[in-house]
Amino acid sequence: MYVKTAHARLHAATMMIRQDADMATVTPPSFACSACGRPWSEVEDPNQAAIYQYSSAQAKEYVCTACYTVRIPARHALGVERYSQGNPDNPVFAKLGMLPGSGGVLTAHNQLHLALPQGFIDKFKDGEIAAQGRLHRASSFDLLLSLLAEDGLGDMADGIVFVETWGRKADVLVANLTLTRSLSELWCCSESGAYCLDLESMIDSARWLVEQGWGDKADKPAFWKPIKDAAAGRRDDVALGKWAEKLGPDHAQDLLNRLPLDPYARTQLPRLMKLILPWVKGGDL
Amino acid sequence: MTRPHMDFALILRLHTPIIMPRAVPRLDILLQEAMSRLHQDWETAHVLPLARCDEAGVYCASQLVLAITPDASLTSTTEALVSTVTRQDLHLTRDCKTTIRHTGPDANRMTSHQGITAPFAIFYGRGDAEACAELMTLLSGIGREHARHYGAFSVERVQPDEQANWRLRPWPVAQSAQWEDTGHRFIEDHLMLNPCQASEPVMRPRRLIREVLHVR
Repeated sequence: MYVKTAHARLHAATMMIRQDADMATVTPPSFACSACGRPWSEVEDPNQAAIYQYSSAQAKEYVCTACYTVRIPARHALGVERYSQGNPDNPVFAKLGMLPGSGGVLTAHNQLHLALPQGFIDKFKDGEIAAQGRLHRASSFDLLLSLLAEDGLGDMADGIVFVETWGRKADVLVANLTLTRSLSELWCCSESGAYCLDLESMIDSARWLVEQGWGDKADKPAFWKPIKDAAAGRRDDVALGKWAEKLGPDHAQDLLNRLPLDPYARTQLPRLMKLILPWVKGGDL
Repeated sequence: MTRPHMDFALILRLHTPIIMPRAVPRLDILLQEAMSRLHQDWETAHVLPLARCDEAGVYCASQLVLAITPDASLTSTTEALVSTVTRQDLHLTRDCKTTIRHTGPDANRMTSHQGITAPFAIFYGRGDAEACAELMTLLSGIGREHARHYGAFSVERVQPDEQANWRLRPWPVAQSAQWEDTGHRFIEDHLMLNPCQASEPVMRPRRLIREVLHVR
């Protein structure tokens, strides 16, 4: 299903969370949603605002139903996160906007997949999302790569949302939520904002490295040090020369032409190649 | 005096890192901002010193191209900027005689932005090159946090462009003939094709385009 914005995808993929929510909506007095900034006529539930108040001493903010979803206790979709002061009569249900160390993918089929640490997996194993097999004990990038390998993302041109970290700052997360339509520009959304990565070039580089027999060396951070240092402004011509000599001059240029142009993406190569190479070596990507 | 239209490359020397916004800066959008500042009118879509591609109804103006030299390449920087979010006051009016105010606390944040350092930036266009260069001098910077001196530039020179690189810009989805022979890959997005218009489905080049500039 084609969507224009990331918030539309979030809204479509999280209907189960809003269905059992005690969410009263009002006609908003403001011009736009205070979280995503979209005019009320353009949101998914037009002119329906949920009221969010940080505390009783702060003013009320009017947010659209998509942006408010991350603040809704997902009683049935996820389950109990903890009990207030240990009292079993006071359960605190998990929210998407309060999942530190966790990530997720909203696919083009409007499916919500969550990448969670083991502790959350144990807590949410009885929820609806777990019942649908969409809780994964993996990092957010591993989840994305596994969905890519299984062709589970859907048509990328329709738009997916990749949440690297749900985190605890829901206002920053939803304000910067960005749609990804191509793996050459993967938007990694988190509680710190959103940045862009050329995942397609990284996968292409990984395939080339495996074909050339460098797959085992390339998942070590030391292999990428000259490239990473040059991208970070600490260029060492001697180290780069040795690196090129090791690969062979033509091969070194070939690899450099395949790497992402963005210097920030090059600084992430050690971390991400370590995740991508096992999938490529296994023939899944 | 009306100068003849030409295909040109507007070369800017960058002085500070660029923090790329969500939509890649484009020459016609920047010139619109410059004209708005000149006329102190941000409501009107001003007439720009650029030619128009009548088939697609867009200005002949490219997106930002980062240029490197043999001595200086693209590097990544992390720019940590302190920002403070002040929560609004809550006003409780119980009756016409009483107003209760609670001042909200500040939520201090250290926001990190990824910056790109490059020696030069290039915008390609078709139109009055000198007029475009003059208008660009009205702007303080390109990209995010330009008011805090990021993306600061000075106009280096204008030179002819023989490859119609102004086509490196978003196009209506149906106008595939315009970009197919540019040698660049185009991807789908949702952007505005002209200043002061609503966004629509487009095909656009990738965010980062890099060229090698031979410095005289």
